[in-house]
Amino acid sequence: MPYLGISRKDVSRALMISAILILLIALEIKTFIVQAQVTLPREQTLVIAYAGSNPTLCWNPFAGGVVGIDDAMRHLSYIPTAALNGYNLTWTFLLAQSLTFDGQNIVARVKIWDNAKWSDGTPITVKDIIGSFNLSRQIGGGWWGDWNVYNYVAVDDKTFEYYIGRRPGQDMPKRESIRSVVQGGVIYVRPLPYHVLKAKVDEMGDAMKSKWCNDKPDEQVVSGPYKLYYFDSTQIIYQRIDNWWGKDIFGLPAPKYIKFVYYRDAQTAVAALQSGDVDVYLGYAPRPQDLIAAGIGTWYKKSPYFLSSGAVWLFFNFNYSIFQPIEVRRAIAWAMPWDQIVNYAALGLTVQPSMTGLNDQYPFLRDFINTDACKEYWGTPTCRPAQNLTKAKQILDSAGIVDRDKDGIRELPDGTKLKFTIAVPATYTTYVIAAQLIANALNQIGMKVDVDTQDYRVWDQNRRAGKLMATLGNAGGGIGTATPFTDMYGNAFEYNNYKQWALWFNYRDDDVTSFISEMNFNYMFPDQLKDVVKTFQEVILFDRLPAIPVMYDIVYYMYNTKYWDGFPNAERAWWYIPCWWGETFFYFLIVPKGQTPQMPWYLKHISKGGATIHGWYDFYKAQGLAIRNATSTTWTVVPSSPTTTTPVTSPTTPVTTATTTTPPTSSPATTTPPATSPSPTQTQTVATPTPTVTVTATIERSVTVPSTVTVLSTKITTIVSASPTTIAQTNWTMTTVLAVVLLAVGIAIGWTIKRK
Amino acid sequence: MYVIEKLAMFVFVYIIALLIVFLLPRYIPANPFATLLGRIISQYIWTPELIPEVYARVLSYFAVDKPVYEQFLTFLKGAFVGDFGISISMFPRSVSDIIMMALPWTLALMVPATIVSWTLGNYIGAYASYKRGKTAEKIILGYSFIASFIPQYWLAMMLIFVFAYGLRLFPAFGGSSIPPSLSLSFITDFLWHYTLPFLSIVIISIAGWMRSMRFVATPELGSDYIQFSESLGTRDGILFRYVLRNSLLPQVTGLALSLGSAIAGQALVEAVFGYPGLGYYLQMAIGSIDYPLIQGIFVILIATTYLANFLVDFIYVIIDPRIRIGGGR
Repeated sequence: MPYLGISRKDVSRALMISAILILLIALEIKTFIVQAQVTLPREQTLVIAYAGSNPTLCWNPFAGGVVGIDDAMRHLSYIPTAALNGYNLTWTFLLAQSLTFDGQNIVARVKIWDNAKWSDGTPITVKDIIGSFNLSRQIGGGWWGDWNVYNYVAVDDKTFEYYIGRRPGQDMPKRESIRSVVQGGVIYVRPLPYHVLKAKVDEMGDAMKSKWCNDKPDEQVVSGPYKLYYFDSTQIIYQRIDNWWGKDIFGLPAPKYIKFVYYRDAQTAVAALQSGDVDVYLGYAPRPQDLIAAGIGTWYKKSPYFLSSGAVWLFFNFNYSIFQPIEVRRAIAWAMPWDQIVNYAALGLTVQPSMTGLNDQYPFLRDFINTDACKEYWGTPTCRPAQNLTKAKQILDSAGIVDRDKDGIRELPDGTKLKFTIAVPATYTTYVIAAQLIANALNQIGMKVDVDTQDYRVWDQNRRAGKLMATLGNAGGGIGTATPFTDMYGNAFEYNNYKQWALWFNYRDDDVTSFISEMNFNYMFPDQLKDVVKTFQEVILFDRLPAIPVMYDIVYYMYNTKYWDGFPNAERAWWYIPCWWGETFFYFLIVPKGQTPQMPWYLKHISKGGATIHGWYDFYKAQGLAIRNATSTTWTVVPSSPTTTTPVTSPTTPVTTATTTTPPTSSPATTTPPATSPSPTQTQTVATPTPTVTVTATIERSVTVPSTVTVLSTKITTIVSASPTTIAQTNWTMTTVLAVVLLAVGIAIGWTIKRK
Repeated sequence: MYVIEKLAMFVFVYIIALLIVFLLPRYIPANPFATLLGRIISQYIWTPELIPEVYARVLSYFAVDKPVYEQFLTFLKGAFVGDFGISISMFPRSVSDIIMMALPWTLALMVPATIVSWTLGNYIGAYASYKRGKTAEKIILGYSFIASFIPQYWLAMMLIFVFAYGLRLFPAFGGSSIPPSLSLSFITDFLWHYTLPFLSIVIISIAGWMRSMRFVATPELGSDYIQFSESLGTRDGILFRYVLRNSLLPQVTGLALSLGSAIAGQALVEAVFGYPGLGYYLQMAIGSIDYPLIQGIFVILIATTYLANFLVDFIYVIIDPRIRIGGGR
C-alpha cells in the first residue's frame, strides 16, 4: 500500500480492530436492549406467537364480517355476554349479570351489568346491541348479523328480551311447534359502541367499512379489559385498561400487555418459545418431545401431548362408480393403517380417531358414542378397530370385486377398476403422509391408489367443484361449539341444507337431513339427544359409511413458564385455547412466575358460587323446560363484596343465585330446583314430558357459497414441503464446523489464485 | 422531442408491465379467497345460512365477478392515482395502507445498505485495480467473484444460523420488538434487528461494486493522463483519486438504478428476516395469490425503476455532452 501511505500491516490491524469492535458493539447493543425496553417490560408482557399466518390489521367491527377484524380484539376488547369454554362446554357470564328463560312468555331475558361501560365512560346499554346491529345492516358490514336481532326487544337500558320461536308482536306459537334452539342470540351477544359507530357512519357513510380501520389506540372505545397499543405487520400489542369496569367483579388480568407475534415459520417461533422470548405458541412444532424435555409445557405431559380437534375424514366422491358399493368403502375402512397414521403422519401427537368421528378427549362427548354399535360393526366398544387386511380382502372377494385380468388391480363386476386418486393440500404435510400411507395399504388389497398434492387454493377450488375423487378433510365443528353433532355431521354429510362436503362429494342422503333436524331440536333434551346421535352413528356412519375417520387434527398449544404461569393444561383444565367463542378468560388465568395459579371463582358452576353454566345440561335444558313446560329459570351473578383487585389476584367470591320457577298456569305441574351441577347426571325434579319426535321438521339452513372469482385456467402442481426440523438451542458444533469449512474454502481459493 | 419520446416510451412500457403483472397471478387456477372463505365457514358454523351473505359481502370489496378487461381497466386507473384496492391476505387493509406501512422500513434498510456497499465497493474495487498482480488484488477479486454469486437469502439464513440461533447475538425475526418512537430504546432495538439484514445485503452487494469498479478502473490506470502524471512525479494518493473519480461515472449510473430498485426491497432478505418491508409483503402476497397486493407492490417497483432510468438518462445528458442528442453539432 505504498501509494496511499498505508502499510499492509495497518490494514490488517484495522480489520482486526474492526472485527472486535463489531463483536463488542453487538454484545453491547444486546445488553443495552434488554435494559432499554422500558416501554414494554417483558415481565408484564404476555407474548403469544403464531407461525405462517398473517395478522388482520383492522379493528373496525363493521369491516367485513369476522374475517375483517383481528380475532384477539373480539376476545379482549369487544367482549360478549358470556364466553364458551370449548373444553368442557360451559358458558361463563361476562357482560351479562343474569339470564332468564321465561317459560310463561317464552322469552329469554338478559341483563347487562349495571356498571358495564365503554372505555370512554359511556354506559353499555341495549342500544349498543340493537342500534349497532341495525347500523351494520344499514351499511352492509359487520360480523354479527348471525344473531337474529329482529327477535329483540329492549326492556330497559340494561335489559333485553329475545323472543323465542316468533318475533315481537307476533302471536305466541304453540309450544310443540318450536323446534330449534336459541344460543348465540341469547348468551353470546356482543355489544358494539353505538355512539362511536353511529358517528363514523354519519361521517363516512358506507365507506367507513373499508376506509376506517379503527387502528388509532387513543380513539378506540372498547368494552373489554384490553385495547390496542401498537401494531405492525408482524406484531399486535394490546394494553390493559387498568380502570376497566369489570375489575371489581372479575379482577384484572395480570399481563399489562399482550403481544401477538406472527412469525414467518415454525422454526423461528419454536426457537423464540424455547428461549423465553415467547410465552405461548399456537402452531406446528416438530418433535415436541424435545421441547417438553427442555421445559416447554403442553396440554398433556405425555403422548399425545396435545388435544385434538375434530376428525379428518377420507371422503369419497360418489359420482365415481367405484365408491358406490358399500363393500368397497367397508374394505377401505378395514384396510386403514391407523397405527401408521398416528405414529408416522401425526408423529404420535394425536390418537386414533373414533369411528364416530367424535373426539372423546373432550369429556362432554364421551356419553355420545354408541359403544354397542361400535362392537357390532367394528368389533370393539372403543370404536377404534385395528387394521385388518385379510378381512378387507374377504369383503371384496365375497362381493365379487376381484382381479379378473390379473394386473394386480381388482375390478367391480362391471369391469371398472378400483383405481383412484386421493388429492390433498400440498402444505398439509400430515395429510400428505397419511394419504400416502392409506394408498400403500389399499394397494395391498388390490386397489391402485395415487396421491395428488395440490396447492391449497387449487385443492379448495377443485373440492368445491366436485372434481376430486377422494380427499382428506376436516369438516369442522366437532369441538369448540355447543352444537358439535349438527355442526360436524351436518357439514360432512348433510346435502340439502348444509351443502358442504356432502354436496361436493355427491353424497345424497335424506335420512341425514332428518337426523340433523332431530339433533338440532333435541339439544334441549340432552338424554334424548344421545339416542338420536347414537342412532345416527349406527345407521349412517357405520352402516352406510359415507366417509371414514382417518385421524384427528392436532391442536398445537405450547407454553414457556419463564415469565408467566397458570397456563391451562390437562391437570388444570380451567379453560382452553384456542376457543373460538371465548378466549377471554384464558388471559385471566395467567399469573406471574412464582405465584400459585388458582381457579377464579367465576369459573365455578353458578350453583357453587361461580358464574358458569353448562351448555347442554343447564342452558339448553332450561330452554326446553321453558318452551315445553312453561318453566322459568334464572341465573344471576351477584357480587356480594366487590373488591378492588390487583392484576394478579382474584376478587372475593361473590354470591350467585340460580332460581327456577314454574308458574301456576304451567300445564305440567312441576317444581324445578336450582341447577346444581354441570354434570350430565345432575338431577332435575321436573317431570319432563317426552317431546314429540318427528323427522319431518326441517331447519332453514342453506349454504351455497357463491363462486364468482374470475381466474384464468392452467394446471399447477406443487411439491410437498419438507417438514421443518427443530433448531437446537446453541449449536456450537455446527457453527465451528461452518467456520472451519469457510476458512478452508477461502484458503483453497487464495491458493488457486496465487498459483495462477 | 427527446423528452416526449422518452416519456411516451416510459408510459407504453409501464402499461405493458402492468398488463403482465395483472395477468400472471390470474393464470393460477386457484381461489385466492379460499383462506378467507375457510375462516368465514369456521366462524359462522352456528349459522351457516349466513355464510353466502358474508362471503358475498367480502367478495364485493374486490369486484372479481366482473370481466377481466374491466378489472384491468380499474387496476390501470388505480395504478395512476395510487388506489390499488383491498388486500386479500390482509383483508380488509387497503393495499395503499400496506405499502405506506412497509415503505419506511424498506427505505431505512435499502438506502443505507446501497450507499454503504456502493461507497465501500468502489473504493475497494479501485484499490484492487491499483494493486494489479498483488495479493491484495487476488483476495479482493476472489472475494468479489465468490460473494457476487452467493444468493442473498442464503447468506441471510447463514447469518441467522450463526448469529441468531448459534451465538444468540441478534434476533432472527422482525424489524423491532417495541413500538417505534424517537426514543433511544427504540433506536437501539431497531439497530439490533437491523444489523443482520443490513449485513446480508452489504456483504453481497459490495462484491458487485468491487468487481465492476475494478474493471472500470483498470483501463484508466493505463491511460495517457495517468502515465503523464506519474512521469511528473505526482503523489500516489493524488493519482488514486484521479483514477477513482474518472471511473465513477458508470458507477453513479449504477447507484441511481440501485436506489430506484431499492424501493422494492430485497424481497427474499426481508422475507427471511421477517423484516416488515415491501419485499416481505411481496413474498407474502405471492404466497397467498393476493392479486391486489402483488399488483400494488409491482406498480411501485416498476414505476420507481423506470423513473430511475428516466432520470439517469437525463443526468447523463447533463453530465456527458457526448451523449447529448445533437449536442455540439
